[in-house]
Amino acid sequence: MPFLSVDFLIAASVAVIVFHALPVQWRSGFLLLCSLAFFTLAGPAYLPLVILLTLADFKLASWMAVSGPSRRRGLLWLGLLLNGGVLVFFKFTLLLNGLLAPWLPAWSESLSRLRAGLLVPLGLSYFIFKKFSYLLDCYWGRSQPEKRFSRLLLYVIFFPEITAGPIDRANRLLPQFAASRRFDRLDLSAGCHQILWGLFKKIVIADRLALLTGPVFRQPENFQSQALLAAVLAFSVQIYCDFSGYSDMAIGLGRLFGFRLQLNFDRPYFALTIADFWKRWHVSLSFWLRDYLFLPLSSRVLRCFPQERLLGVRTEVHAYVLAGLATMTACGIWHGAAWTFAAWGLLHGIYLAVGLVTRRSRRRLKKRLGLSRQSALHRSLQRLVTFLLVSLAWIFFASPSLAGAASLFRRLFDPGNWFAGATAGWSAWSHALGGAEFAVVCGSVLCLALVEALQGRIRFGGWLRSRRWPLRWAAYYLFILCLLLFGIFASSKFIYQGF
Amino acid sequence: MGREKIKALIMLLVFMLPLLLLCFGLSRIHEAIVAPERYRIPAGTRVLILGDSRADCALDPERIGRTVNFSSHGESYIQNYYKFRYALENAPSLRTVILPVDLHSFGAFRSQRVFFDLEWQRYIDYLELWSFKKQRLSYLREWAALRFFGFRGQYQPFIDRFVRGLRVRPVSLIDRGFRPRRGLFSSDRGRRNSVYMASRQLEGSDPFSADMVFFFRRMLDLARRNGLDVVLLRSPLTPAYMKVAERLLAIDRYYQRVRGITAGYPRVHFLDKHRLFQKNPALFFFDAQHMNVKGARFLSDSLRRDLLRLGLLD
Repeated sequence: MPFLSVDFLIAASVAVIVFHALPVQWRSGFLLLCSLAFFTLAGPAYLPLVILLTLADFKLASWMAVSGPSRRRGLLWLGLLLNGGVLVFFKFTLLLNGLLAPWLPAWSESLSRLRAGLLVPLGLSYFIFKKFSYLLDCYWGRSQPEKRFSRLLLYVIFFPEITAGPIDRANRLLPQFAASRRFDRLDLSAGCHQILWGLFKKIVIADRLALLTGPVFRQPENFQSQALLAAVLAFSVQIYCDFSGYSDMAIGLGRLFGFRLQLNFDRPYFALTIADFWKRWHVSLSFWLRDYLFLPLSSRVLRCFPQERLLGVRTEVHAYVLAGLATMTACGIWHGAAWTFAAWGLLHGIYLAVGLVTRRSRRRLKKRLGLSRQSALHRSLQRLVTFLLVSLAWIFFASPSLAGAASLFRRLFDPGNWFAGATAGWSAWSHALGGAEFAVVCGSVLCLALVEALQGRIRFGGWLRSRRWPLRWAAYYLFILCLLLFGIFASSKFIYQGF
Repeated sequence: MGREKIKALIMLLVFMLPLLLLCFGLSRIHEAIVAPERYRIPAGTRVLILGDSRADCALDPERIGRTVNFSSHGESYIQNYYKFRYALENAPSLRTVILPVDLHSFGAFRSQRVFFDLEWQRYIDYLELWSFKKQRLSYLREWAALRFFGFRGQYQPFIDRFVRGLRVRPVSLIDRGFRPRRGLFSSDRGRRNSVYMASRQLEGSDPFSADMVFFFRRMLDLARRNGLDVVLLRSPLTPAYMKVAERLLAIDRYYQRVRGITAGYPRVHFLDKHRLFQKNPALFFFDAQHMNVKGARFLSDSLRRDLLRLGLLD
């Protein structure tokens, strides 16, 4: 059942009403039933697999709690291998197969046969990462093993989150499932606000921009550099609106049930640096990677090199650069078994490494130039540079292959292609949708930018809630009608849904 | 449920009701803008033409005389039946109805195409249709989506109508439903087109679906009750299409069965025009199965002569 469908809307509304009508002790069970039904509708074949894996995690975590250090480590590795094996089998066998085929043709063929026709379970990357975090938190003692299997299963396949996150932590969500929350109308209105805002981002902006960016990334050779640049920048906005739109809807839906899910986006294109960008973009994943991959990796590197300086540079910097590169490449690969994603992750790793290595010299340069860190001009320039760097990296993400990305980069930076007559320029690109559509895109993106710029100062939800009901309702009606009129209702897919 | 929850639920319902009314109103306005009433039946009209795109481009009501062409592309006997009913309610002078009986007319491939259309919702009684169809829930959903949210994503017609002041001209007011297709049939393109169309329409689907037979019978019943003559018209086809069709379907047996269905009904006439333009299809066809302007002129004149011969036209 697609997230953006009338069926889902009706089913979710009924679920929210029934949930609040039920006695507190039945609510978790009801949510589990809903989540199981949602998962089953996407592919019933994998339900036993998910249940068995979660059962294994449940048992392993409870055994870890009563075992000695070495046995605990063994149990942890067993859990990580079990879950990681499933992730690798479903997501990366085809990639590995392609690599190994020249050397091991027979093995490759049998693996292909085994893998052929198998669909990837719904939300695989998301729920496997949740399970990893649960096991690691239990191992490190950050959270206690869950005592009820049904609650752990609910955490793993909680239906607002399963399709594309957020990747909530067990120690954040499990206590909320266990608590008997009071019904709060504020949750309902805040949830509805967030769902509507997410819908605006998705169906008004992202889906409309997709019509503009799709042809460019499929066939960059048909476009001039100006159109390519515009499409690359447009894709940055599209992917943000697509994914954050989904996240808003998921978080809003969670809020309708009374749960506070993890924030996934915090105005990422207002970031001042790439490091800042990763504190604001796909927060649940980037913080997951920081806590469970980057920090353990960098501390391992530091332990390997106990000396203070290495090759004239502090060992700490070496550790962070190496761990950062590895983490970001892993982040790229998490998105899918394709070299384009790995390149995208690696490029971000390089951005972070360069940012780290040049931090002192940049600071000195700023001091010499007399630039104040607080000046609006300086901050705007930082934001612009960060946005451009992030946008360039998206080329790898959006291109169907590395060759396609390389071709797009070549054409983008080819001075002869800026006004090449035979290909489509900015004007042809922007008019591909028609004047009115383009105006709608520009207007809605401006509206989004304005709201996000003011978000730090004004809390729109709170402001609206404090108005009298006629004004509030009129605003809701107007917004919903605008969504209905200006939305695009042909697609029901999200970019991040496939990961 | 506590008082606060009941209050929240009531507030939600109170909020939803005006919203639904607003959406319903906007859907109606949108419908009036983009799909205005296309068929006005002039007083004294004697002949009603129903059918799909083959009829809408091939039968010129002006040439036949006292005729209105209600056919439209992609329509099946389901739409034909409801349009027939609508026409009978609005034109008591009708004496004859012309129905196409082509090789794909009873096929199952169009039987599900009854919703998602602003024009059809004007004629189709969806509530009645549910009683014949399976998947009632999906019918209900689609119907509700069309009735309440038919305007979704359609801001452009509102801007055209209310900001730019543009109006859509109903087709019927121009030419009573006849939509001529300009262009000639090229043999190469035509062959490919024939194979594609014939296989799409005839291959793999049941040539006599229960739905289509049922609604065809209902039209015959309706005609009998109202004392109308029914003319079953076998449309002209290109030799290329026929060649493909002969491979896919036992044509003689197909028409024997059609005659079997109509056997119990009086005043049913069968006109076979499928061989009318076999010698030089390029002059008369637009593609494998649709007439061009010249073909439409000849076919309409031929049909007029037949109707006069049968005494169905003065």
